[in-house]
Amino acid sequence: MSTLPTQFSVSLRSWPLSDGGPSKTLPSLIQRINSQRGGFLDLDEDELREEIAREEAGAGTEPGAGEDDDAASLEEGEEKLDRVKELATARDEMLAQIEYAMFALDFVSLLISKDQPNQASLSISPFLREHVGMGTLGADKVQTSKVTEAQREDNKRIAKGWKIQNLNKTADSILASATRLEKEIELETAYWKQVLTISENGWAICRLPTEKHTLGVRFGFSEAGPIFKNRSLAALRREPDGSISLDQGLAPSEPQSVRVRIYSNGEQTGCSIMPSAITDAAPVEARIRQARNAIFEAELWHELSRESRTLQAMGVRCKGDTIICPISPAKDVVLDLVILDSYAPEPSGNDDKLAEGISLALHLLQSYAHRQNFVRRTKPPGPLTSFKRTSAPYALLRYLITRANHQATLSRVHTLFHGICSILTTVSHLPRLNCTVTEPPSELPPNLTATETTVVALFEQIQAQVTVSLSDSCTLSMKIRTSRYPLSTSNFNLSLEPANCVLQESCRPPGIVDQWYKAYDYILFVTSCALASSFTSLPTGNEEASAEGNSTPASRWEPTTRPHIIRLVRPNQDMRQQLRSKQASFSLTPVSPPGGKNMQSGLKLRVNWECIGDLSERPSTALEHLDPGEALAWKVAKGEGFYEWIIMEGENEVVGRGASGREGSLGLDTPIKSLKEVMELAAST
Amino acid sequence: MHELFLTAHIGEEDCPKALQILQGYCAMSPTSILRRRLYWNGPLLHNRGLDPTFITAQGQRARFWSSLSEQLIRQAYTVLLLYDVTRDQFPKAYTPAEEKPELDCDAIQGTLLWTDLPDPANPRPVNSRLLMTIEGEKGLCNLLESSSYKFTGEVVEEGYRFVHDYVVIYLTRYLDVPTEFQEMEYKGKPKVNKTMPSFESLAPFDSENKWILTASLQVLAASDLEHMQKGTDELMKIKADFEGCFDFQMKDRHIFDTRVKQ
Repeated sequence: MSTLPTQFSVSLRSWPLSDGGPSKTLPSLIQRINSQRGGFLDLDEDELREEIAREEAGAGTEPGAGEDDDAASLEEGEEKLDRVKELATARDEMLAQIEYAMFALDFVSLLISKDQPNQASLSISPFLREHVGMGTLGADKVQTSKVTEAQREDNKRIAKGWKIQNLNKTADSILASATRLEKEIELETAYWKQVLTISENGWAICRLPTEKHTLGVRFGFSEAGPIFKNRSLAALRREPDGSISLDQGLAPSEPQSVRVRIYSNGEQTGCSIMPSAITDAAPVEARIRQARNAIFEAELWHELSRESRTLQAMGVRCKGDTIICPISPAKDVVLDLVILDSYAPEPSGNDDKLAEGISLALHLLQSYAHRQNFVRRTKPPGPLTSFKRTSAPYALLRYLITRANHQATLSRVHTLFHGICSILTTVSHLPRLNCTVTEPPSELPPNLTATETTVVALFEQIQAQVTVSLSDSCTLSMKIRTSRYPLSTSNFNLSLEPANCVLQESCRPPGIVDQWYKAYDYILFVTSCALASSFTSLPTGNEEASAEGNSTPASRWEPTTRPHIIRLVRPNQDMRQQLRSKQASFSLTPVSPPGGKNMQSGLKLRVNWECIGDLSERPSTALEHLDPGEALAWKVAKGEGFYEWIIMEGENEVVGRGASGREGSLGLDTPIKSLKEVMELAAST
Repeated sequence: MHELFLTAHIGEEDCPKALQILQGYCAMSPTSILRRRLYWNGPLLHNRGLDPTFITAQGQRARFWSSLSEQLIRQAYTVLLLYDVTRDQFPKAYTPAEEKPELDCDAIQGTLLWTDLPDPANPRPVNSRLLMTIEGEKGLCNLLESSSYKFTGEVVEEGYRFVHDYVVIYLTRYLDVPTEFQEMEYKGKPKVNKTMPSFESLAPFDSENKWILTASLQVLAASDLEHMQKGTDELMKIKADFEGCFDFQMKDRHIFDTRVKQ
């Protein structure tokens, strides 16, 4: 625009296309006049004619006018081109200005669109309406401030006061925070000190899986069942005073313990010692220990309940909240879980120690079961299978019953051999019967800890060995083994040693028997046979020599095919006398007390002798059935008789009685005869 | 039996820490293992597997031996005999020869271990291979000798075993028996040592004395795809659990090649 003169008027009309001079239309002529002459007011026809004439005259008088015309037309062409350019530039400038104007229009339209949307919608551009939206810009009149200088000063003072007040408040707040922080540090230090003490005492401290920012203590047992393992973590929460509280969540946290009571013939005669519950003020470690004991007891009770359902065949019963386990015909163990908070101690009884021992054994067995779980878990696993590992109930009551059965068996063995030994001592039998009960060395697996060794020795390998020297050359050996499965009963392995023993053929041992009465019968029988064989002797060459030399050879007892019966042989007897020979039988049998009903509570050794009418052997008959109580009234034939020694269970004194054809009745008032005397009596009568 | 496994390496200085970590992870003290590994190469020519008269005499276990023999006939393999030893059986240095404890491998129970070349690359991100072990057998050296196997040498394996569910995590290193202690039948033909050298004289097989950490589990048969996948998942879980601690990897299968080369 700077290139254009300021007065220069610009027509926006399009440039005339034809070269045939100016347009002849009236509006164009008026426009030209307005622009060239400044309107019609100063225009005069005469002046115009003079001007035309002057121009024509000036053009006709100039020399070289033809050449000048060409040059002029050339200049005119160039001038025309410059002008076109200028006009195009001016047009662009104009369009830019219009654009600015349109922006301004849009702005104003948008500004008034809030208050006068209808009017604004007429002028606002569609683009703005679409993308910005109507009424998104507004303007308002702002009133000028009425605050005076005095007020301003006042405000400044107020602000200053507020600032000072708030600064004071902030300082107080910081001081309070510092004090609180200091206290917090003290509490936190106390908390961490306790946590450290717990950790140093061997408890495992870890973060809670559900609350990562909270510390917890693992108080349970890593090898416990899954239910109890998951419950063995408690949060160590900080109390307002910095002490630690044990938060066991939803798990029951009251102290509890399994109580063992002994009932004899329906009466309580013993109870295990129960721990007392600790108070709330107790140190945290005591509370952790109590939580550990409680979860151990809960698992013990759980396992006892599980196991009791599998031991119905052994007489174990669940009655209400108790488990009843018989350990002998007269004694029952009653187990239940008691809450220690509300527990009142039981009065002491005779079987308190037994109850306490059983309680300890059950706890030991549960710990042993945990060890077994650990061994199973850490063994190299087999191949991957779909089979889900299930945990069988721990053997707790089964061990107890097995041990009780073994003890009962040993007791029976002791009673039996005590009776036999007492009788044989009384009858002055030589050699003395020697009985020893030993526990063979256990075949323990290697790498066992001392605790495991104790438990294995006490419960796993329950065995005993009884050795009885029946004679100088014959020993009875009985190995007793009580196994947990299937029914916790004992079996007896009976054998005679040495292998060429004289009784080996006649009293062949039955080997392993699984019933006590079978072993009992065999022991009595083999002892009777051993006694009988101790009086027998084989014929010697001296008998014939004695017969030839008319000296009197001694009579002797010789064995028969029945090992407990021996026959008297007199070498110089004639045929008739031999037909009236004798036999003696030995028997060891159980006896019942007077008035007892089939109770084998005593032992009787009986020797019968009687005449036999021929050479064939026959078993003893009538004398066998003679009741000892009726012996005094019983009369025996000449040459026959019996004698018996009786010992009752729980007594040390042996009584002897009998009857013979020669001496008549031998009652309790007569001195007890030895076996040798009885046999001499039998041989003589 | 098919074995799936992953392997990582542990520097000697990291071994105690690794043991502590594994102890916590598996909630158990490690089972310490010390055993001799005797290497026997199968014959390249006239390979008839194991002695058939021995197999028939094995009674109920004959089928295990028979299936092992079938594998060994396919190809000449290096098989391993493993014998547990204790530190007491390694004499102290400078112990006179007559006072050294004698170890007669044929008189004690050992384990025969054969592993195949691991399976070629497959979508599974773990190594897997066929494996057979026969444990608790006496006279294994005699058996292999009678089956034309050649004893090539031995190393001592020192290791710590952990168990985590079905996965066995085993940290081990191998110790070489010094050449001068190796008894020879004649030059170039070693024979099984009757006594061991002192433990201190054993040199680590790896020059950097690195330990090998293996996480492995066994699957009854490779055809059991469900269990193979389950086993793979178990191992991958172990790998993820130890991410940033132990770098369990599937190694190039040729590292575990047990075939005897020409």
